[in-house]
Amino acid sequence: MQFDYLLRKVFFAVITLIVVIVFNFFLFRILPGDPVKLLFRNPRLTREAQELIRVQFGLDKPVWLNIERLSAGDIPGALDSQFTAYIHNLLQGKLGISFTNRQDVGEVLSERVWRTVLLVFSGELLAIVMGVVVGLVAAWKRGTAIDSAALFIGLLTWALPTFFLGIILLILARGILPTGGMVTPGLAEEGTLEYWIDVGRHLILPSLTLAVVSASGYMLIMRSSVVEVLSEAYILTAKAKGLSNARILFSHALKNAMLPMITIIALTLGYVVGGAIQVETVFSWPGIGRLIYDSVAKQDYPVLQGAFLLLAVSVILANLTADILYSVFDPRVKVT
Amino acid sequence: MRSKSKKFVVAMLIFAMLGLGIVVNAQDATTTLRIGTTYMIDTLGPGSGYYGYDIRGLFYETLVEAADNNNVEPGLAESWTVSDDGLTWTFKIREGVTFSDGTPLTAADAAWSINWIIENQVVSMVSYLAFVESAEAPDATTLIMNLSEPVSNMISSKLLYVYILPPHIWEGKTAEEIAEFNEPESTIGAGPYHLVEHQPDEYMILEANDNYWRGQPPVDQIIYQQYSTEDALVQALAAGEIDLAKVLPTSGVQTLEQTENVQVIKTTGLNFLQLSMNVSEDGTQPASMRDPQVRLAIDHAIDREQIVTVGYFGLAEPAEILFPPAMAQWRNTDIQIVPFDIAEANRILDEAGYADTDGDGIREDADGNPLEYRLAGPDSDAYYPRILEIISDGLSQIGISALPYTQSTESLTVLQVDYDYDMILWDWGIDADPHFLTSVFTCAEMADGGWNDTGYCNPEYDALFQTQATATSDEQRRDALWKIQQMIFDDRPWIILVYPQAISGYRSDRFTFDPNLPNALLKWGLFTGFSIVQ
Amino acid sequence: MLEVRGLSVDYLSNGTALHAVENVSFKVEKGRSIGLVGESGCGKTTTMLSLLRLLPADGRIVSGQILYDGMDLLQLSEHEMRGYRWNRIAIVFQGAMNALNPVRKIGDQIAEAIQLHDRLDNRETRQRVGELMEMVGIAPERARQYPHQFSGGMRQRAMIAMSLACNPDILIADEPTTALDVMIQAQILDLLQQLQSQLGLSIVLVTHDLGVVAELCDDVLVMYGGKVAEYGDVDTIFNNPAHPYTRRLLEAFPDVDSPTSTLASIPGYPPPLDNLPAGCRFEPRCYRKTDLCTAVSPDVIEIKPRHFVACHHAEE
Repeated sequence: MQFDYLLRKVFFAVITLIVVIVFNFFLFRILPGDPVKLLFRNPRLTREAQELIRVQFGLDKPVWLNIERLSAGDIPGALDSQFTAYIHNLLQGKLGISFTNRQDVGEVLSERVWRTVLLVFSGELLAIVMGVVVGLVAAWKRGTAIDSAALFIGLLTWALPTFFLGIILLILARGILPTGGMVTPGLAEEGTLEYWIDVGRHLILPSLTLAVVSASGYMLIMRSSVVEVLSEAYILTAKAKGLSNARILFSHALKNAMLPMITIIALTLGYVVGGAIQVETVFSWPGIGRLIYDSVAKQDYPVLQGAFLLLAVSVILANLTADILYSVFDPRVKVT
Repeated sequence: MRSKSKKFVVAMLIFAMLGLGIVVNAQDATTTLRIGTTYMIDTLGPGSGYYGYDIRGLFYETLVEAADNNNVEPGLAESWTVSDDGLTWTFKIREGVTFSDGTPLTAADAAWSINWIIENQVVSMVSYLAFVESAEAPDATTLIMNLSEPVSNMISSKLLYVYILPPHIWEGKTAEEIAEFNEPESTIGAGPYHLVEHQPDEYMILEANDNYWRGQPPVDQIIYQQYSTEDALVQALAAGEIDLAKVLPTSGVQTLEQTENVQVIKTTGLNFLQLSMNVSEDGTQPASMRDPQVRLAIDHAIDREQIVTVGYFGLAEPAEILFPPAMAQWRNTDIQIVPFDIAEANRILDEAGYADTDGDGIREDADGNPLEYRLAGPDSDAYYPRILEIISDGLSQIGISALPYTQSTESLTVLQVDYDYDMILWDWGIDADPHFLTSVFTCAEMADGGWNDTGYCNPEYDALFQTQATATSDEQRRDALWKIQQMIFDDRPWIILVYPQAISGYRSDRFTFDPNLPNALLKWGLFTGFSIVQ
Repeated sequence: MLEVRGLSVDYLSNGTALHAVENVSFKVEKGRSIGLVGESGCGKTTTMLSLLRLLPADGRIVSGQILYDGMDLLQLSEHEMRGYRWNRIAIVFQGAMNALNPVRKIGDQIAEAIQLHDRLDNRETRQRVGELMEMVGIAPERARQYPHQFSGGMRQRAMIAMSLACNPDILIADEPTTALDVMIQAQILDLLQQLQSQLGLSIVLVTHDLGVVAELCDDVLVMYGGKVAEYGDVDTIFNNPAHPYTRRLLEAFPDVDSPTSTLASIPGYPPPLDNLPAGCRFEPRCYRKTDLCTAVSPDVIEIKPRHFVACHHAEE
């Protein structure tokens, strides 16, 4: 049963992935404009040089099918297109070469992804812990001043623009914590303790910003989830058993209230590799979010395709994880 | 309980380390100049990179070099002569120069580099060698370049960007390999610094080239650190994390001027704000936009003083001439600013026959089409909408309706390429040499991928452009360029609005920079207008 | 054993106090059982929750005493009160509904109460859980299962097993047979009866089902509109009801052996808490009402020994 379930889930994941791969290719090519013209809108680049670049990146080829060759009955010639080159490279595990910096997209992404995961993961983790704890307390103290305060602060931070909060924190911590980047250049050898302390210092402001902004979402969901659970009959049973408030909250309410959170958390973590564009921008964090943002402006198709593929794969995996986790946490969900 | 309190102590220790950390690196013997920037470099290799000229300038030497006040100084070439027909250039190459890896640099390497760029069509540099047919080195100190046509800005512009590279690094590579060679060795040149570490989009660490021909570079290490926004640069400079930021936002000036140990430099540099008018024959603009009298009236209705105050916090000056004051050598100073004069603008439109026939407050042309225009600007900065608003207000007082809106620079570029707009506000940063700027208005640039954004096409103009391009004397070139500036002023495909001040800043507790040095000339500036504060 | 004296409970709603229970008194002797009967909203559930001080946050006990072996539970601290819950007085909620935690194993839920109050080690606890489950007729292996793997009747049995975990003196059963089918209802009632005699339990049965009361209870407390209508032993109440409401109830419920009948057939509705009549609460629906009933609320009087009625016309 369980095996069947997994097999089916994996099958659908693969189908989704194939759709994503095809969609991924065309998505960026329907953007208006010409990447070469935009990329190299540089007075020092002649038209001949632009043409050369176009050939180098295969942008002189038709996007989908070479219609002329097809009508001439030349099937291999007809297939000589940007799309077939994309698929061909992908099958070999190659994501292509960035239009802008000529680096291998796979390398660019693997350099960036752990930085983004470090930032977003620590930020979201902090947000989840804060959200769950405050949500739990607010729900338990429903209607009291504590609850009102939690709701007020929650809604306030929910409405607070990330950019604004980031800048405020940046100005407040100026001189105490670094204003941007992930490391102090030239300070320490990568991998040493000093290096990691330096990274930690750079991480505090951006992850805190991210945490404060996303915590309120978790808090509000957690609160309503706990409020709902606390009205359930089994909570009254637990109370009648003579359990203390803390025991009731942690051994009866929490697990049930966490069920809707599991899906949200798993999916959020799936988007972790997508980065947090605003936070990465304010704090000059060299992550995937910034990369995607910059690449859109430059129409750097190979980087965008690579990044979105990475994002799609991790979201698909996160979905799968959420399904499996849910069946572990909630005995009522039959794995069928 | 005990293990809990132990954990707590450890946690506090870690927190303390993070909090206090190593804020200041131990004072060591090396001096470091930390430069903050929003953009460092695209590709490391010079074969395919288009951005980061200031950094590349520290890696590589060129025959001649940009110096202060837009002058050109000798570089690897000590001196040069050009034949009367302008087709043969002879350079005397400096002796005793070595690349940063220790190999000597001779005229033969210079000739090899030039031929190599031409033969392999190295995209980043080949355009500067247009009309250069070949180069040769009859001896170790003589370089001869043969041209098919005279090039007026060979020294003032073209050769500033042609790097003399070490053949032993680049020889034997195919054109494609050249474009994709991005290893650290690709940065070996004869410049004052060489690369030690590069984290793309994060930072670059450069170390001094002890064999540099001008002598020991003034600082041992230069670190470029990339920030995502200009606002972050302001904070980083104020916090003392960086020593120099060459491009700062006007919004940061007040903060920085109040910060101790920060010196702000304001210069009127090589940039201007301009309004592109769609004058194309096959554009989508209303026909009235093609009438020079309408464009003159619009010019009169723009309150430049208000743009300076509201848009730039006073850090700009009203403009009218295509060439900013920094291009003094070529600048047509006869051109007088068009005064902000609503009455005069109305008079011009009345005279040209644009009257408000239906009484709705908007004038119509002879065919009854209202003077309604799209007024666009980029959404990349907060001052664009403010300026668009000022322009729109002025136009509404002369019976022209112009609804201001902003869009991404990418979409605006697309609109402009298709001449599908009426008026677009743009910021321009230009070369000290006027060749590129003046090429924008030629008919040839209207072709696909070209730079002619207004559809202005005038054979008379093209002839003047050709004259300035191939002039063999400065007088001849200046004459053509003065006429060009007058023509653009009269025909108004562009209305030049203001010259914004370029803002840069540095830590005066660590270094001093000569405030007269234009921002871009870091390499020259390091050896002339720079000193370390002890 | 357990005596309730003059219990009054208010609910606070938008700043006004709603009188949900007023001046209710009754007694539960050791080994005897009492049925709390009435329509929805009559205050029987509020009364039951008050016994263990489990009222929702907006509920307040405004006056009265709840004496357990002479000790007033209302005077205890919350911490002390916890020691009485389940240990002395346990509740059987409607197990067929959501009274069991869906994400915890049945055995763990039973064990939780044992470990809380009796401080047994794991092995002893497991053994006790097994005994309890056998006592209610469930195979001990099923302790490892979750509530959703049990049928409705099984869940009710598990709930009963759980309630007996700490050998309580008093068992409160809240609609223990509602939502179960007839066969299972009978089994559960048999089980409760058997356990009562076996363990000498006192039972407080809260129900709207007179059939259940007739089968299980020694005494009956009929409530209407938050007040006591009539209180006496089963024989008296079923054979000589003195309150018009009790009579109506019994008339609406002609066959004691047919537990499927309900109370729905009395015309009219119970009074809403925010709009209680000035006089007798039942007056608007009463077939014997007089001007006196409209004006004055009747006191509870003992018309015969151990037969209490709140009605101006009780003697007739």
